[in-house]
Amino acid sequence: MQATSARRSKVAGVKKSEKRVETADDDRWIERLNARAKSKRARVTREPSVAFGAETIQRFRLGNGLAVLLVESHHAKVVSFHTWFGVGSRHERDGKTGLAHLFEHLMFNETKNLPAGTFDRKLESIGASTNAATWNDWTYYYEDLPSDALALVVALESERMKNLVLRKSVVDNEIGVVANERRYRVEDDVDGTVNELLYKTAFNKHPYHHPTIGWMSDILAFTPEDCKRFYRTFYAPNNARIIVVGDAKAPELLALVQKHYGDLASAELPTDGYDAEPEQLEERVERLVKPTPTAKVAIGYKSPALAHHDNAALSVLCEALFGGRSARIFRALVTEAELATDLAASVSQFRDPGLFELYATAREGVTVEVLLAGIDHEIKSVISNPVTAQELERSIARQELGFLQGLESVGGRAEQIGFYDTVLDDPAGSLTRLTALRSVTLADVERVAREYLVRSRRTVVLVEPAPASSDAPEGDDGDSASDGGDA
Amino acid sequence: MSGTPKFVVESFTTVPLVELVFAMPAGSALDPKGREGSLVLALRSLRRGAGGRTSTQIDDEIDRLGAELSTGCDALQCSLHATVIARNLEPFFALLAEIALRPTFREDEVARVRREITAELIDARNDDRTLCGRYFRRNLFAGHPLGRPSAGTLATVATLTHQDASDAWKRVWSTKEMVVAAAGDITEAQLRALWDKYFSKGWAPTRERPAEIAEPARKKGRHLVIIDKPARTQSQILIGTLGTHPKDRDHHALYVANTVFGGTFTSRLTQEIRSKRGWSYGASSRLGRERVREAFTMWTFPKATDAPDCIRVELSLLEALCKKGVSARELTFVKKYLKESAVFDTDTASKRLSQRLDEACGDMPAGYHEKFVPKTQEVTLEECQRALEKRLDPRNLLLCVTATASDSRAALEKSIRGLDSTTVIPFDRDEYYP
Repeated sequence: MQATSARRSKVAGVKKSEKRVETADDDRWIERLNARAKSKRARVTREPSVAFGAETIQRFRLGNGLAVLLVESHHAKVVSFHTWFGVGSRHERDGKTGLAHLFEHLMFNETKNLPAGTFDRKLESIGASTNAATWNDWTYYYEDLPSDALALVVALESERMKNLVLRKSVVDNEIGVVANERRYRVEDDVDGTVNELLYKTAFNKHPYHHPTIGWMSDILAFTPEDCKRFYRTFYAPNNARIIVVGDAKAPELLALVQKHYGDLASAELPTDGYDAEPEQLEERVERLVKPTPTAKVAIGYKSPALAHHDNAALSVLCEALFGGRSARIFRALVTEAELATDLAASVSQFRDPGLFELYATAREGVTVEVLLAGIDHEIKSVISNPVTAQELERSIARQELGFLQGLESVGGRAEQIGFYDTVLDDPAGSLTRLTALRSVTLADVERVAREYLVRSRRTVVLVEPAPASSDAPEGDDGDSASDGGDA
Repeated sequence: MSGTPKFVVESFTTVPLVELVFAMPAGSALDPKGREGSLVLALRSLRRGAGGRTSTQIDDEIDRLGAELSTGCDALQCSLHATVIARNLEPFFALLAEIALRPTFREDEVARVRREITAELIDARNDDRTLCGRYFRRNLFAGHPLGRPSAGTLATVATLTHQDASDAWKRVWSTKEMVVAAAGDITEAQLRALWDKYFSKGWAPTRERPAEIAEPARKKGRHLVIIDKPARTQSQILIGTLGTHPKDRDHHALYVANTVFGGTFTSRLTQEIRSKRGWSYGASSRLGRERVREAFTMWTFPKATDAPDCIRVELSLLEALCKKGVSARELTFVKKYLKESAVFDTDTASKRLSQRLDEACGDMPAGYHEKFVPKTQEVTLEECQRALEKRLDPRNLLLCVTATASDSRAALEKSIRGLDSTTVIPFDRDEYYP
């Protein structure tokens, strides 16, 4: 497991700021806040700060369990305000898939004190932008706002966490929107269809089996009661964390949070019970025919959870093989053999074991069999011809670049903090992760290649193109009524 | 004399990254007729051999340095865009100089790139939204440089050679008024010093920037283009016409009116299509802002069976907007939104650089971004009304829909009052109207 002590590690190359020294004087404002707290729920406690590159993550907690994490950054008069909930599609059961995602949509609707549309209207009036995302292990909401509007955003976010109204008409309307989102992302998108089928086939017991957006039949059947139950169960302060990065100060922020969230009661959260996925013992293969111009191959090897020490080594291997033009298998199949148009791969960053996912799009005329054979040949050769020191160096440099790019905006930093704190309980987990990636050795990479890139533990989805329209009998639609678009 | 480009730098030293842009005010509009795709082929071939290095050696070195290199190209400009971990800036800059100054354009490597572009053009048929946008643009700007596909078509790309690539690169690289820009952990003095050390002896600008292109022609009537793809459960829909030019007197008024109509989540279009009817996950309108007259578009993607009704509502919303304009309340609200949200146009060094590049490269008039918000605050209701009447005539619209024609055509045609023509294009064709 990754050592929690590494949370305080500095990333070499990220410039060091003045070390913040917390003294008793610093926290007199907390005493003053607590003196006027109306209940234990609203009491503020400071938790140990964590170094985050050149910056510091200050951590606080309300008596009701709500965590508040703040990174002060005064380069621009903007703030990114994130609210992360420890609920995602992994918490759904059969017949109710897609509820976490549908609920995320509903959070932008009516509340007890805000008619429909008012939430967005108020945010737009201050120039803020807002959105949200849901995935297997989490859901989060964010606002990017001018820093002088922080009070309004805290009030709005707390309002929808306390007083959401879930009328049938609103739920039905949002079901229509989500069903249409599913058509966009899955039904009419070959890559979306393949990704969904890959996970459905690779996982039989674990909830990673079902897609975060949910099965269409489940989406269409949700009721307001389903949504109300979900709200009461998971949208509790002790299942949430607020992350603020930008031009904000702790005393003002915590005063606002105490005022608006301090009356919320914590809830008894359901245990995170799910059926563990049995070990996969043989290869699983699915075939599809789609109106796509070229064949596609997707492969998912079972991979370790994000917190597992092999996850970093497997990510380094993945980058060395598939991460860009210098990567070994990308070069072999895209550039040299010209079997594929594109190759993309990644290792799941999930709380539980996931997949080493690989997606390949064939060149025109290349069959799934030929493309799969090419991939298999290259994967096999990784065992006999392990990753070299140069490949390791390039892989780690690319991952460092990606990490640094994520630090450029306040929103990017808030997202990194929220993600790692929610999934690993480590707000500086992205730095811990970078340290782990840099520590990966050639021996580690060789070992994980042997251990995880195993045929009996993989799932394969093969997509063959449906006959082209020019090959099919054509009606009078071909070029009919064409004016050629001449202007 | 090799000349000196313009330098633009936005320093931000907290994160040890440097973003570099070499922007040239010349683009794919310079590709000869029938050789469309030449410049993109050139840009992508730059890293496939330069100086004494092979393609493989260059790729390895870029990744070893923790860097990325990409290229951008549209009708009017092209660029090299790079990012590197700051500690490796100098060796990366030296490598960029080799790539830009001494590309080899070897025949076999250029042919390989040509085959990659061909494969990508074919693969893009998978994406319904891309298909819809592709044919919207090719039809709206038919016969105009803005309608020319920068990456070329299957037919034109197939004929391109390493000589086309080499010629195309010489055309743009030798253009005066190139801008060298950087954001991040770098100062202007550092950037100038690096330029002097690695580029100054090799860059010899001789060509004037290309003349401004002509105004695109506005096509009369309502025209439907169906991109016919089997088994569609959903329709991608783009409806639009020509939009605005930064030198238009009503440029800011039209922008404000569009923001009311479909520029925010609470705008008319989003409210009517998504919030009230639940028809489409996305519903918005856009007014392109470039140094030429770009497009005005409405974008939605409803269920295939909802598409005719969705189009009907979109058209009636646009007609109402053009006839009655925006309300005083809407105008006040949108002005405030534009004023308050402006801080997010400049909150990172990268965004500030982008704005300065727009002006330094000549895409926008000097001071355009600084004056933009103040000018929107001066817009009146009457100016909005006049701009809408003049620029967005709902009788003259192009409607592009990705759909299964055999299922949808009749209903789509019925939904469009005053339809003048229908064109059906199989999704796996590559139609282009030079």
